[in-house]
Amino acid sequence: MVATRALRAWLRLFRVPRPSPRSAPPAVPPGACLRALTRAALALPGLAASLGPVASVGSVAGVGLAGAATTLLGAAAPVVAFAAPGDEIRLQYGRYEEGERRLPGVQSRFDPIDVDFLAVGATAGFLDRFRFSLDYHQDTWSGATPIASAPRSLHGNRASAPDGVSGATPFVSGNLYLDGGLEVLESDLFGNLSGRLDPGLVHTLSAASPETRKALDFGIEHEWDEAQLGLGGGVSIEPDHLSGFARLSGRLDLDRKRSVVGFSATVARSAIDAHLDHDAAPYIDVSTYAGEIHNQRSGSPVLRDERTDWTLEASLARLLGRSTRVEGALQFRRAEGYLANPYKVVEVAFIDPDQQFLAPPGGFYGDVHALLERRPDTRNQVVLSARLLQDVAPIEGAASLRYAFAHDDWGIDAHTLEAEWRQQLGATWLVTPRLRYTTQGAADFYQPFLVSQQAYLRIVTDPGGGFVGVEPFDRALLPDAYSGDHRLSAFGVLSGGISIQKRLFRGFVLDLGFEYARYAGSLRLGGGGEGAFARYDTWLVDASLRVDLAALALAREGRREIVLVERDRDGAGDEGAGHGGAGHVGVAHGPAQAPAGVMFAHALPAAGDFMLGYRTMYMRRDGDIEEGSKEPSDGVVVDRACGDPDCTAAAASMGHQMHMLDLMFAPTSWLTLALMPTYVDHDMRVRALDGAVPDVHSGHDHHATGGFGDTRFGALVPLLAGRRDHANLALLVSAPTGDTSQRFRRDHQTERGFVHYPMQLGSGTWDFLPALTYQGERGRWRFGAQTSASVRMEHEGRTGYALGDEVQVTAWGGLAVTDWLGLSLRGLYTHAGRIRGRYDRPILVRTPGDRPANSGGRLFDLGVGLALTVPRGSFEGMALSLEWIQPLAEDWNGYQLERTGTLAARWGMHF
Amino acid sequence: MRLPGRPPLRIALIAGALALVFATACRSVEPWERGAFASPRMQDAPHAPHATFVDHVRQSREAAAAGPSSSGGGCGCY
Repeated sequence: MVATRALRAWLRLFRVPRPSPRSAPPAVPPGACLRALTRAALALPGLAASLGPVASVGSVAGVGLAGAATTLLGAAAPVVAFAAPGDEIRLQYGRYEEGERRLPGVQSRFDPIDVDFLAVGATAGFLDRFRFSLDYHQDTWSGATPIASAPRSLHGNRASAPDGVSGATPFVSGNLYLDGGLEVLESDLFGNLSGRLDPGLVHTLSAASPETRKALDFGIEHEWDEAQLGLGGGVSIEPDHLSGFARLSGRLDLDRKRSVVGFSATVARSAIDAHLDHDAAPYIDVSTYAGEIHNQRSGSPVLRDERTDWTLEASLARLLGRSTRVEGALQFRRAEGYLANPYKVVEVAFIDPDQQFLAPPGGFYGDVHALLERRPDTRNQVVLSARLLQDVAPIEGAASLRYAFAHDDWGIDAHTLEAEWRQQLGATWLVTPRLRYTTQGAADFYQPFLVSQQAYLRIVTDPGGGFVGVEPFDRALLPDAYSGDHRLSAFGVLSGGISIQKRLFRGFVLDLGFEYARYAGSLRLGGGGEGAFARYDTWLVDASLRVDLAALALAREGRREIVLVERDRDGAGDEGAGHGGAGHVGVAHGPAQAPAGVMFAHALPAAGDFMLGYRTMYMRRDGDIEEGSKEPSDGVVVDRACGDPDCTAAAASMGHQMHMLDLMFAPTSWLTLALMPTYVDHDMRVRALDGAVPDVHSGHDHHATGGFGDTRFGALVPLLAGRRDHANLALLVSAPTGDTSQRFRRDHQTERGFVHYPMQLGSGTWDFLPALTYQGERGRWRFGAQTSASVRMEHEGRTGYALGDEVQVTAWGGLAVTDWLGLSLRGLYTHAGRIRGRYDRPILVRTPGDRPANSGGRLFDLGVGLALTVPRGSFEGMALSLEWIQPLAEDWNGYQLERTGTLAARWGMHF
Repeated sequence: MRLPGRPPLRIALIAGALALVFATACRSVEPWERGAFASPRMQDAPHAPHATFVDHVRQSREAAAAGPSSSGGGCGCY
């Protein structure tokens, strides 16, 4: 019976929005419709015409068009008080993968590039005609990417491991033999010539440890009746690249909004701080950028430079009839500064006259060296685009055709043609298949491989034959700029994909997208594209969930009216008072919400209720290595922390961030089901320990991991649901969806194995997560307590170990300062056990974090938090809480890095 | 008539001329005739999050699409 009810409740989620059967009267009360319509009529016209989500997420190329197109009068959906079309919350996950590169004759252990993309954001109106948007996004990538292109006879991907499999270390220097016409001859690893020409170029691949980019963008706009002006900015942070931008955009409506003119201007400044691959750096000539290279002697040079980008765009969108819209845009981009890629080199075969005794008969001997690529320090580009959008009303479809032409002073011309068909299926589905074709020419300085008739290094002697010195090659004999980056070559791209959109309930919009693309020289229009070695395929999938605040407000108004009618009919008293109830539709517990760092604290109060939440926690660790609660010297850490052999390094800083989607649904009033997928990323910097044996990685070792974490699911049961006291029991399980086999890249001919235990993405085991929570309120005072645990239900995970069990006890008190603001103070005690077992494969133990004995401990913390509940406006019913958790005392097991603190943030909305 | 410039430039000129013709069409479209533009299929970017992700990837894969790091695009070094 319960299962049947639950199933029915779930099925209701996927119906067209309407009041829930539980509370729905036979007909929607006339008052609800009247009130909604009245408010719609009174809404300011300007609010119905503003930038769409494309612009708000920061695509400069889309600013003008998006802003112009979405404002055409009549294109607005019904307007509801407090929320305008375009006001929304958005969550997105995407994954991008590339197919394997063509490496003939090589068994590569490289995994191709893959990228995990995560985004959360919101857009909301305020102060009548202002609108604010905020977006956070991050991407974590790992895998192998080409560092160079070279003739196959250079054997750049040769096996570097005894098993004959190509490793992470690329070979970027060596020898080649050329014929009299400077064509490369085929040779084996030992220099034996086959008598044939080299079969052609091939990418030299290099793998890197995962990296994560994090970006935060914001935008603010003001709307007039026939114009709009916006300001935006943002910052992007990654270990080797810091970028910030500012944008001014605007729009002017003409001819009663039949035509819309848009413009935008953007400036972006970037600082490059690229740590060159310390494994390959000794074999890369960086003299071209000698002034920008730092730490050359450390064995891990760093390239530091800057770049500036400007973008100007003007656009025009115009209605041609009742069903046709055209748009055109002109964009000018200028870039100055360091425009090269610090991780790409060009292979140059130096024909040294003094070494030609090694040459084959009639040919040449080439001494091959890798030079850091060099690009011009300015780039000017013009992009012209046009789009036609044609409605085909009889079949509820629309066609979109877009053409773009790009031209720049690097010599790259590109044409892009995109076609998509948008098909509505019923009132809630939109299916959009699309095709795209791009063809581009090569940059003038694209040089996948160079030959230079000079010595790489020339020994200078005095007239008597005595050694004077060594003179490097003459740079004037090389082109001013050269790059072997295949993205600058001539190629074509053919891609196809599909997007499916489903409008769920109460303003929820689910979007799924897929795209496949093939990049190949043979696809270039008119031929002349790069060879087959540069061909590769890509796949991309993504899913996003948007909460349309206008639709949500409409549903909320309807439910409120229904509740009022029910009260009038039933003579109900305080049904909606206190903690939940249909009368408080959308109000997420008011300021009584638990501090942000407390999980599993709330069960939903009524059957059919739904909650969408997002939670993030960032823990920072800096400082000294502690033993128990003491701070030992580096010498002690070296001797004792790693066992045998000694430690050579230790963590200098660590960052751990978790993003969690919080989905809850109550099929009955006594049961709340929860699903909480997570995404995590870790980063770590390592320092050398005084007195340790020198380590090739010490002083420049930064590594990161990231990806899907464990997934939690289960149920919460309310034990006490009074007006002022609430208690619930959470019984959840954590599924080991987080990878626990994250590895270091192989370098210096050494397999370093798995990363440190705290850098893995999950626990590796099925875990039981019980939690018992009490919350109460007396007047303006709020208080609560929780005891929770993580019990590992397996002795070991897939890689041979299991994290220790954890128990946490916490209690808090707080004050509701206003009806929308609350403050809290919380104490925490955490007991975490040691890791059981160890990695089931050998690892290179360098730091205390590589040893299971150095895990767990007893921790005392103090949390200071604030909680905001939005009582009205676009965000009505949403709750936002922040908490800083400050370590008070630590008693570690073994040797561990001390903590700086944890920042927890939670956003939630209860429907 | 022979258009000036290289073939890519000619195509661009033709496209620009067509766009100009469309943009100067003079048929009046009254506000009450614009109902079609309110449908989801006629929105500027009905699948905006997907488009954002795809654009981000393309900026690191196509030279012509590699604009400035306006949305904090980073170096696209992967």
